[in-house]
Amino acid sequence: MFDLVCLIDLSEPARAGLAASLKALGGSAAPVMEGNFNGGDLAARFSYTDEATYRAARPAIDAALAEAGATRCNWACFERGQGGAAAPGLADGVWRGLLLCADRPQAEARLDQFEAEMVLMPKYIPAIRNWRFSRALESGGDLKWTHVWEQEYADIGGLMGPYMLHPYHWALIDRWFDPECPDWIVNVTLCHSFAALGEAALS
Amino acid sequence: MDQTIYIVDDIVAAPGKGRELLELYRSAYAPGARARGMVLDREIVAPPMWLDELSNRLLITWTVQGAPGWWGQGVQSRYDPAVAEFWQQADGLIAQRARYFGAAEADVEGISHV
Repeated sequence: MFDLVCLIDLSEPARAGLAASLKALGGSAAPVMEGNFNGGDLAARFSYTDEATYRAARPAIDAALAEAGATRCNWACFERGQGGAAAPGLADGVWRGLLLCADRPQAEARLDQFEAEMVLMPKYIPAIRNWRFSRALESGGDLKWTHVWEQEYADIGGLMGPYMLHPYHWALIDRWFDPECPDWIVNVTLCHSFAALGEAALS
Repeated sequence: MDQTIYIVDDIVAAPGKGRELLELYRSAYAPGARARGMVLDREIVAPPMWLDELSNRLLITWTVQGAPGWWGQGVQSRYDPAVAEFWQQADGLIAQRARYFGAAEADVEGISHV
């Protein structure tokens, strides 16, 4: 499977119309919730059977964004990476997407360990119900994003509570994101976005 | 009530640079750290004498209260150019360093079940 995540900035009056257009193109789309960080105004994601199908579909998505007057889109497309589903079919939860760019000088040498530790987060933080961690094939926007870290929670409390408060996150994983730590590999510019997509995105 | 979180800088100074490094840390790093809510717990110098030809190890421990306190300092520091500037400035005085985040064993259960 091949997926696309788009975090779109656009005026408030245009959001509902663009969400409808993107849904008509086969995607899921919803307003980004309060508390995001550089997460856009509208989150959208698309799933395709393969890369070729995505390539064929992409021009219509770009046209819809242009027509709606989108001012910015942080996006990444990717073959699905590792994932898991503790709550298959979860459709009324909250999807969270993190676009990150592991572009610090030592990133290449440390990438395998970084990825291995990231995919253990759901084991230690069961509030992450469904998840996927993928390497971006192509990306655009503020940076050339290298990874897409997606999760689904039963509700926003899972993201704001256990995910943020668990020591596996802040005392271990975050050192990859923290310029004060020698292991730092991830650019401090991130897209942390979350939305109630209204459908099961990761299972 | 939030548990005490320890932020430990474990720094091996370049040979003969231990005292200079600690002075720089105190003058160029510590004030900003305090402003971000970090409380200095202790500074340990090992061995407890200043070496000229060899390295001193500095173990500098700060505390914050709970994960909210940890995120408070962490989010501020990563977008503060003065912090990056300090570590760049100190780089020539450092042979090796690590930073750890931990807690008293008695607090592990409470911290990890959130």
